[in-house]
Amino acid sequence: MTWVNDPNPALVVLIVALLAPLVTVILGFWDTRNTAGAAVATTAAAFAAAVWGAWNGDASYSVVWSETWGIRFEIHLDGLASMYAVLATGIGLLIAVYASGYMPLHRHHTGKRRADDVRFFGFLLLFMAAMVGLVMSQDLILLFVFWDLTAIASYFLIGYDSEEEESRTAALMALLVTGVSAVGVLVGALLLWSEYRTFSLPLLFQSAEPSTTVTWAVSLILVGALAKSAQFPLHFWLPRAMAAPTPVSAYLHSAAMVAAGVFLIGRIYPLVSLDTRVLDALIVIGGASMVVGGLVALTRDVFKQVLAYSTISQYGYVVVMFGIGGEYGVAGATFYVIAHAIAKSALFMTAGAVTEATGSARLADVGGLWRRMPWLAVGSAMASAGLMALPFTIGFFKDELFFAGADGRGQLIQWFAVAGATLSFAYIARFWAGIFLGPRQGDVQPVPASLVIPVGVLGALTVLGGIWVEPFRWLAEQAARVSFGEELEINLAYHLDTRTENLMALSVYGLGAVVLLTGRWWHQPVERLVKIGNRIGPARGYALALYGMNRLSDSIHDFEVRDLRSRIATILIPSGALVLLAVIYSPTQDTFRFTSIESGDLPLLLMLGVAAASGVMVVIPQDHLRMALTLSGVGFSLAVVYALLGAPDVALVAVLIETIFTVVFIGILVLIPRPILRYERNLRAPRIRLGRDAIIAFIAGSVAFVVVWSALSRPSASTTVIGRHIEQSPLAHGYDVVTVILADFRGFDTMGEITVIAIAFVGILSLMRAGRLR
Amino acid sequence: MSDRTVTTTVLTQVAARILLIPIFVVAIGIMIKGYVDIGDGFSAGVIASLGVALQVMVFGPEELTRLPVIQRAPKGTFLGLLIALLTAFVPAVRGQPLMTHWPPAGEAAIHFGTVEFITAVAFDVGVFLVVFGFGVGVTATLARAQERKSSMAGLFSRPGDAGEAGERS
Amino acid sequence: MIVLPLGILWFGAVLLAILDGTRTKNALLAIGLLASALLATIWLGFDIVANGPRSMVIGGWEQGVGITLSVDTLGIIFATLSLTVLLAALVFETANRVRARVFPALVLFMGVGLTGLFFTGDVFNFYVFFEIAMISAYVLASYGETPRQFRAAFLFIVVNLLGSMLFLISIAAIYHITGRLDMAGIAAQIPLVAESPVLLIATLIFVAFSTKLGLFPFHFWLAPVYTGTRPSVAAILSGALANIGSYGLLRFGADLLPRELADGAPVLIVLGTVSIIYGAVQSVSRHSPSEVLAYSAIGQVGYIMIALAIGGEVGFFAVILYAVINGLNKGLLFLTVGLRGWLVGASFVVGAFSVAGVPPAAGFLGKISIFWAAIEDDAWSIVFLVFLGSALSFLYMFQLYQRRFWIAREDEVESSRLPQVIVTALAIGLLIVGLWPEPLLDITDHAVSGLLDSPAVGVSP
Repeated sequence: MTWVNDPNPALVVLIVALLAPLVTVILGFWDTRNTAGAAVATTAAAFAAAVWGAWNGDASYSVVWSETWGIRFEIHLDGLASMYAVLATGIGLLIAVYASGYMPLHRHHTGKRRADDVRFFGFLLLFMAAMVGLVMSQDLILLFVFWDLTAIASYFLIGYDSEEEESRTAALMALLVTGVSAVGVLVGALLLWSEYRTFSLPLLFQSAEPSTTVTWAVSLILVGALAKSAQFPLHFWLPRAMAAPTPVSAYLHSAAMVAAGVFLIGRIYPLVSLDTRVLDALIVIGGASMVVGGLVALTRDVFKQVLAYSTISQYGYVVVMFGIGGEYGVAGATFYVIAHAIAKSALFMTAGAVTEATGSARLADVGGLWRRMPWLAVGSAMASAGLMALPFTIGFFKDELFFAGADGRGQLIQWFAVAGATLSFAYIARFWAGIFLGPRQGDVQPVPASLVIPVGVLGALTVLGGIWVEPFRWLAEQAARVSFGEELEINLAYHLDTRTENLMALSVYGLGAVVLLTGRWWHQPVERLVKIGNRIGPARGYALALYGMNRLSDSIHDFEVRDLRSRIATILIPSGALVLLAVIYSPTQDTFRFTSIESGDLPLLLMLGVAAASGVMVVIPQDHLRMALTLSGVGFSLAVVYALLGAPDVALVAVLIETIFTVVFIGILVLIPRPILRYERNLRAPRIRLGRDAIIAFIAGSVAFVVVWSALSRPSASTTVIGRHIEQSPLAHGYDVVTVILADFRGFDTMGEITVIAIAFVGILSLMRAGRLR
Repeated sequence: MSDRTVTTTVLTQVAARILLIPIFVVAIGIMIKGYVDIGDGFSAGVIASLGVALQVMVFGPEELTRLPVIQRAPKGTFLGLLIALLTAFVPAVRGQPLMTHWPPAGEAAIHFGTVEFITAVAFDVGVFLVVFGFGVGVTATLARAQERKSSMAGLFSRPGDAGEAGERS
Repeated sequence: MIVLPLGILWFGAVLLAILDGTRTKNALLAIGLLASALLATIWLGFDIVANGPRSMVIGGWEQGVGITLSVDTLGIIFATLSLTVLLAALVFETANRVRARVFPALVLFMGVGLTGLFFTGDVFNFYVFFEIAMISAYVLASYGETPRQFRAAFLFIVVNLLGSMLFLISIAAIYHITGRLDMAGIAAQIPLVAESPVLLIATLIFVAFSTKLGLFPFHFWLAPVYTGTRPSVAAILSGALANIGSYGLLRFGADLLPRELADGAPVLIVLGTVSIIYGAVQSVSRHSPSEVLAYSAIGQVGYIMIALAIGGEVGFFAVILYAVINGLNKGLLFLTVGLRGWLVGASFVVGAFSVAGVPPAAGFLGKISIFWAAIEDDAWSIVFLVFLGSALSFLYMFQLYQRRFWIAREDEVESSRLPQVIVTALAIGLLIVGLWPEPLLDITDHAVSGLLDSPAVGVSP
């Protein structure tokens, strides 16, 4: 049992994570009261596994998934994977604890049943498991599978309160933006395959050279990544996704979903860094998100909205840092994710706890809560300090790395970095201060401890990271090495000197304070700017596209033909056009030939003429009986043609068939009530429709005619099977070749045809017996 | 509604009655002689069912119940199909290709005059039964439907009936 | 062995035709027969993958004189798919209580027709089995209780008879110019015949199969028929019967008339493109689920056409894979139409993810294969088109899903358990295919190399 004695850490981490939702759902089904407990326990196990895996490190597991497509189930618990796995499971654990307190309250508000908890925790843990799988995937297709799995989980979580229209819209929007952009990841993967014939990331890193294909592929994958990280201009889904219950928002923003986007950038970074244009694009997009998110965050009033836009802005940083690249850029981006995840999830949980306590979700309605909720205030103060990058928090180092990276890239970037950090300082401070400071507002109900403890834990971690940064540094360093593709060291310490980073940090604090204090002057203009943005921004574009698509759909639906004649016409006319196209396209010589007519053919021609004339007669309006008789006239004259061609067997069958069909036809006509027949006979179609029908009929006839003519213009094949049939008939004990063909050579066809007759019989019986098939 | 005022003269009735047996004989002849001359089980089936149809047209649907052969013909459809299927699939059980007829190609068969007894004839009988059953069954169904329609229309005119007929057309 | 599936179905159908199918015991008998035919097909499939195609000339005559039955991997794939969908629909209807005496028999008869046409190596025999399948479908389409079904059935019959007629004309013309009816013989003769008549014939064949599939602009019958028939019948029509179209195009196009297929590729691309966009856009604002599914089916046909036009190894691979997965998706989704309950919602959403191409539901395999084909062909416009189509499929599937399963209505009664469990089983099947795709991919690959290696099925002429 080597497997038990020496387990593969990569597999263990993945399996434990995948078991979490499964076990929770099973226990939940068994007894719904188990759900929350099971969720906490299984997430704790997953977290333990992830930490243990990170410690034991660098294990991989690979097995062929599909031989035919050359895709492998290849996972590697490298530094990058460890970091994100620890984050996803660790924060997942705190979220599960939080949710166990939050969901009963939520149930109370929304009137949901206890059983709905199973769904909630099931998808939450599936989300976590998908993240863990995603971060370990080394095969692009496998990665795509986990990537979409996170989209699925988030869809159901965002739409959890499906009775609210807001939730439904938000869920659909999140799914459309992240699901459709995920197709970019897939196409990018296939493009890479077309160039290097592999989906395996390690192999791709080895062999990829800068080329147009690689640039395109990477850009497409980045579209997926950036949409998931809610980067401008695909950011608009994230604020809407706040319709989800708070634990989901907290998770979505810190360690799952949005983090998955920047994770993917980190994962394929060796390919990203091949083309500097791609890196520049990252700086532009990240910068735009930073500014847009930051400005909007400054003006929002709803807690979760402030935080949502802050996330857009702060992942903007991460993207910018990846764009800046180099040792500092990559290290900074990676470290930033850790710092941000810890602090941001705490703030979301704070928002949720405050809303539960006061029943209000707006900054305007609350204030001065620090006295009433001191523990929460302290916990979230520490977390806020982290995001504001104050010293003695882990956040200080995230900005230090950012500034260090920007240092090498010229003034513009440096100013930009300061501006971004200032915004971030300001909106976080505004958020925390708006809730806990100022005049006292809002009634406070006691909330369960499980809503406060996770905030405290995360806040403590933020401060701990500022004092003893080593574990976090180590985690980030391991991860950044993987992204960077070579050795890299992160050095983090406080320096009491006037190096650029420190100066930049100081100016951020100063500027941030100024921004906060001058709120009354800039608030109006910024608000107006945001309004304009809403009117012409991508969110509006999305809404318009959706609306337009539904309108377009309705209007082309009006063009659908609805009556039987037109439905037939729409088959005949296009086939006529296609045949015409084929005639034009194909070489014309010898396609159509005439042969001479001999006097002996005269009777034959005569009967064919009769058949044709009866065919034309059928379409002339007349009563049903005459129509049936004319129709049978076609058949009878064709029977004569067969006889004249020397096929008495066929002629006999034709005559008999025509006879019995005419009898049956008349029998049916008798069944139809007279008034209906009379009504139909007296129907006169408008002239224009008659003309149209005539044209269509003519086209249909021509199609058949042209095809048959062109086939008949070929001399019939020199060796037909019929020759062999005639030769072999005596062997089959037969003298009448037709019968032998029907019963022996091609008896199987006859077998089929009598089956058709039997089925038709079954159908007629059941339809006629009771007037319906039952 | 007095649509169906069937006016059959005595002459028609006598002719129809007299013709029935010859029609059957011709049908059977055509089927058995199929391998030698024009015709096969299919034509035979159509001819025989036309004969029955003639009776029904002249004497009405109750005529169908008079002869047991005719009465059971619709069920015969499936018997015929079964016979045909057996001739096709029994060789497969014996390891031969489907529809390998017996006696094998080129070997002598028991014959009665020019009529040879081979499994292909059994197949043709199956075809005959299917076609005959179909013809009789359809004739019967149509005739009964007409009976039903005229009897109901004769008693009273039900709006539901007309509505249903309207839907059907 | 080669005749075993056909034999089981055929005898079974005749037997059931005289039994009363509304009795549960008889319906169970039909299910047993269908299931054993499916198993026999799979068993045959294992043999064929291992030992190559099998063929048999009926009556023991020489090739060409007798009818050739010829089974290759392609036929096995389509037969397995169709029988699976038929089985699902039959089980579903049995669980729901069969309302017509002849329903089980007709399902088996359709099984005969489909299996036969996938197994035959003779074009006229193909037509005969085609007719068996079609006539069963005609009767099945009217299965139900209301004039709605009759209207749908009437339209279905008229339009499809037209398609069958065109197909028959082309078979006669093929016979005239090649003197053969066996596919191997035709494939050998066609290159010797001048191009022009063959191209015209190929056009008619294309029209016939496209009508069956519902390609734009031959699709106008499709939506009213799929919405008018009962859910289980709609599942059969779109999941099993429509396979005739994809299979026919592959067999006649790729196998018998490759030259004409290459000539017609631009037309296929144009019609496929229009079909994808038209079907997807139409689906967006349709309200009833079956309407959305019907229009979505029109869009899916477009992908098949485009992959067929791209051709070659990746193209045909995509055609087969896409057709199989689409058949399963449609089978599942149409069955959910009349049901209510959370299991149904879960199954529907699996189907929706499959249509949108989101793993782990099997649909993403089809999407990958189409993208793959387009990329290998350097056809960027097609890549974009497929992307657009898949974006729209997200929109219409999930608009529908949310409208149907997220907005709770007061008057809803949960359906009985058994039908729910059946659709759930199908959904789980889709997930399994998505998670463990290798068997499907492997056998598809096998079928494609069969198509490309030998010019036609069967023994050499």
